[in-house]
Amino acid sequence: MKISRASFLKLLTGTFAALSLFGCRREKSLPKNEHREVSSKPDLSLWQKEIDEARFATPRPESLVMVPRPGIHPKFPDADVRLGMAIDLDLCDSCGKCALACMVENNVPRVNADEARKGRYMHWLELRGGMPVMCAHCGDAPCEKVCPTGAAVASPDGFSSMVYPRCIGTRFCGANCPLHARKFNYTDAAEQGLAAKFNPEVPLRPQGVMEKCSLCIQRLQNARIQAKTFGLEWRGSGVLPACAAACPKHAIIFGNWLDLNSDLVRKTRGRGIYAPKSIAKFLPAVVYLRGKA
Amino acid sequence: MNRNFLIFGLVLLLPSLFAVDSALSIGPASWALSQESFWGTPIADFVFWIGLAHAGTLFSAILLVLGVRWQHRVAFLAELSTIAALGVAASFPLIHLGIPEAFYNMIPVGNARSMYVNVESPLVWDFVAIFVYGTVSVLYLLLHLFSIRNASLEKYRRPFAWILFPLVLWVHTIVSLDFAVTFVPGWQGAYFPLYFIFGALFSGVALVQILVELSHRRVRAVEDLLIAFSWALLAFWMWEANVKAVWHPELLIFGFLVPQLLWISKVREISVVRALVAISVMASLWWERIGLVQPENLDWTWVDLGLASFGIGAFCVAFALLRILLKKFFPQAFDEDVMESLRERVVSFERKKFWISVGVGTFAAGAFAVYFIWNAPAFPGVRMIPVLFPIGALCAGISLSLFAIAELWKTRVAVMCAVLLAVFAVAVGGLLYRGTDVSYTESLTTVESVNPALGTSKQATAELWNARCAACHGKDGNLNRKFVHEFYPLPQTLSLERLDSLGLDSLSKVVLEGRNYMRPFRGRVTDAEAFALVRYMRSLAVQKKGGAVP
Amino acid sequence: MTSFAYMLAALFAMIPAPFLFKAPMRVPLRGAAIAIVLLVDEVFVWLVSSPEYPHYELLPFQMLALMLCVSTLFLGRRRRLYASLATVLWLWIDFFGMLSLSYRGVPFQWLPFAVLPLAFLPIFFMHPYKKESRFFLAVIWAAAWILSFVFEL
Repeated sequence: MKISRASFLKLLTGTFAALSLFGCRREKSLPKNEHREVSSKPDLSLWQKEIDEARFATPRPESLVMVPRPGIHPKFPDADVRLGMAIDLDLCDSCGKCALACMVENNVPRVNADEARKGRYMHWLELRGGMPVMCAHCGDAPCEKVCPTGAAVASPDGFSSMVYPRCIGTRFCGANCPLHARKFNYTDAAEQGLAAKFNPEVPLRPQGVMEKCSLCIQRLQNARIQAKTFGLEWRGSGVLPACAAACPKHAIIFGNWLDLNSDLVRKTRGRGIYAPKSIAKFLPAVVYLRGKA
Repeated sequence: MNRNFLIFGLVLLLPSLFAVDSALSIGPASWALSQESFWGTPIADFVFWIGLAHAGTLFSAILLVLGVRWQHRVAFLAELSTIAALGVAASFPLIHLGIPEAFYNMIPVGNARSMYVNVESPLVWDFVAIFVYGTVSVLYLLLHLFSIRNASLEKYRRPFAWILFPLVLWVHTIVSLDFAVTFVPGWQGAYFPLYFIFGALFSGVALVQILVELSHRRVRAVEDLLIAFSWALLAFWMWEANVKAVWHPELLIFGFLVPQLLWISKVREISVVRALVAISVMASLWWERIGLVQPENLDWTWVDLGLASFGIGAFCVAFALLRILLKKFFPQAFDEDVMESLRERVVSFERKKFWISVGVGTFAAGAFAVYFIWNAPAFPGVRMIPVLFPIGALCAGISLSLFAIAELWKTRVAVMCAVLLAVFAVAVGGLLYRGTDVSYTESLTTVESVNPALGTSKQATAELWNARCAACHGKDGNLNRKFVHEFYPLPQTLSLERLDSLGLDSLSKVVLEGRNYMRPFRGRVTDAEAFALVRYMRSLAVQKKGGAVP
Repeated sequence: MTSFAYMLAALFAMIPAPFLFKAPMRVPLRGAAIAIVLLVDEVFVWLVSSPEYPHYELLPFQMLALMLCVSTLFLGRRRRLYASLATVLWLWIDFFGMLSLSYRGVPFQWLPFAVLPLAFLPIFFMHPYKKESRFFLAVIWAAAWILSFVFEL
């Protein structure tokens, strides 16, 4: 193709005109705040309100199937710790205190109105039809299999953890989780003033990163360090995740599945152990109790 | 043709840059995504464009391997379209990412923190395969271009084609595994590898058909392939309908029935019909990928459409620019007579160097496998195989190109290229091994959780009021006139109406930050207490008015 | 799926093998013919098998691969190339199919991969047009077909 000088100039002018038009565009991006101002007085009733809103978004409880008692994590056959939880549905009256405690403990942000309309709440612990649902910390976790960078990875303590700085936001883990327990940071909540740093031990997650229930890993690590300073071997005792601590009915039992003297094992003895049907075959560590075995 | 392509491409590309800009700055929230599958149009566009990138290899490498005599002209057109489509395809996964600038975390190199990428993940296979396919395709195109000028290079083309032939099928197989290995009900399918390969070749052939029509030529074999592939896709669509109960009649109409028009020779003679058939095929295959990635109906935003337009525009611009550039440097490739005379060339096969290159590739793949299993033994070995072949193919392709360089210029040049390449690879590897500094710099201060609904107890608030506020505001909420009057001008009375008009939020802010003559109380009262004090003040005002405290 | 139905599938798949590549055919016709064979295989699998069978999704394509393999025995020219390509196609379908199934918890079975590459023995090291090597090939393909069923149970 031959370009004459005139047409070349025309083309150049046209391109520049288009580019400058591009520069004149109206930024419809979200409000940005360089100083990341966070309201000095986070009003917890806003968080509470969002939890109540989210209840309407997930009106149906997960269908449960009976599973055997969780045991050794398949990736760590020699470990003597497999942390997990049991949620006693006979005691639970779905008051939602666990959900609020979880959000405060882990600095879980609220979402703006747009995202809320699409049901993209960030709640790590959701009340689906009144039933508290969170990441089940599967032993054979589908999310860990597909994460390309190793951001979703099994912890030697037998739960599924999330390395935020490794995450590049492919969202493959979220797609592959049959329980849909993983949440994606669609927006920068801190910038919009929707996040608050309640807990200095937990970082606020940047936009574009996946997150989910971490079993309050910061509390677990503190308990471990404390035990270590006394020269004790820590096997998952003396600590409660925020949701378990907040439950007025003590319906959420935390502990080590491999420690036969732990609260968890003792209280689940003789009970019917259930797991959400969608993930029942992945060896979940967070299970539900209902009735007698 | 180039000029029209460029203008058409720019018309689509320039407005669509708004969409790309918005997709990158706002992030995945800007296009339609379901909370269940998290994947949207960028992935569908990616699968579509990577499929189109198969045409070039089909026409030049696969048919060369199978010994089909083929027009160099069409093969060349297809090869260029491959490079352009591949570039477009590679941009979509980057747009898709939540943090696009961190994509390098997927490169399968260990790092100093002994964090290893997850070779079990199809996305790592995908990343490696597409990178390798891009590199090897470019090398193959260069080889083709240089061999037009220099007949001695012709003997490397078939060995190269033998590397590219399995590679291209491998690439699309891996793209299919992105879906097939998941637990998303609509994405599961053990038959996906073949299905995707045929879908890709079908759309690739349709693209070549359009390009051939646009250059005012006619290649009957391409039309024949279009019909043949439409039948293959029919079989796959029927099987999908059976296995997954997915039924898309629009695909059958536009993807299968429309190409059957080419059986009728009278219709087939009309050039517009041939182009329209190809467009209908491409549209239906694009729609198929959309339906696969997003099984549910979503409200598309303008970004979704903008990204689709970006794909077409960027392809046209890249294709036209490639042609303009190559015309300048390799004018023979656009010379009809030269290209036709190439058909008569005897294509021999450089056996020894081919097998040496295969050996190099096998060694590289083996070394990678050993390195990975040694360092990260937790991964099941069989799931590493998909990534091994591309690595081997890359090394084999580079080694063959080095042989070709030695043939074209001198052995010295080839050795120098090899050394430079090695230095570059080691440097990049070292950079990745070192890793980046990670810090979460947060300027956020820790805040206390406050639940005003619960609040501080009334008794405690009353005591606080008496201690902190009563000096000026009075125990009963009436201004302590005598005291205030001595020091300050008298303010307005805080009646119930005034309190309510100011609002509890702003009043508690006044308590904390201070206003006019009132001192800030931050640090002396907590956020929760400030709020409680304001509520207490209001209750005093209510009492004064004679009402009951609510 | 019963073993009888499985054997029947092999026989059924092999019926078109001798005829498909006999006469020279135009490309679209040949493509349509292969696709129709695949469609018929699909209907057959739909009739005799059930989705509970782990390889249900793969079966029509395995049948097609077997058919293409066997049909190379009747080719007039370039038998070596096409026989190896057809075998590789079969390996391809099996490997990637089983790989994706293995993520769903179906155990990965290695036996077809031990048997099918044996087919390259007669393809590359024996005369491709001799009766013995053709017999060998047929035996190896049949063995791969049977073994992939037997070791599933």
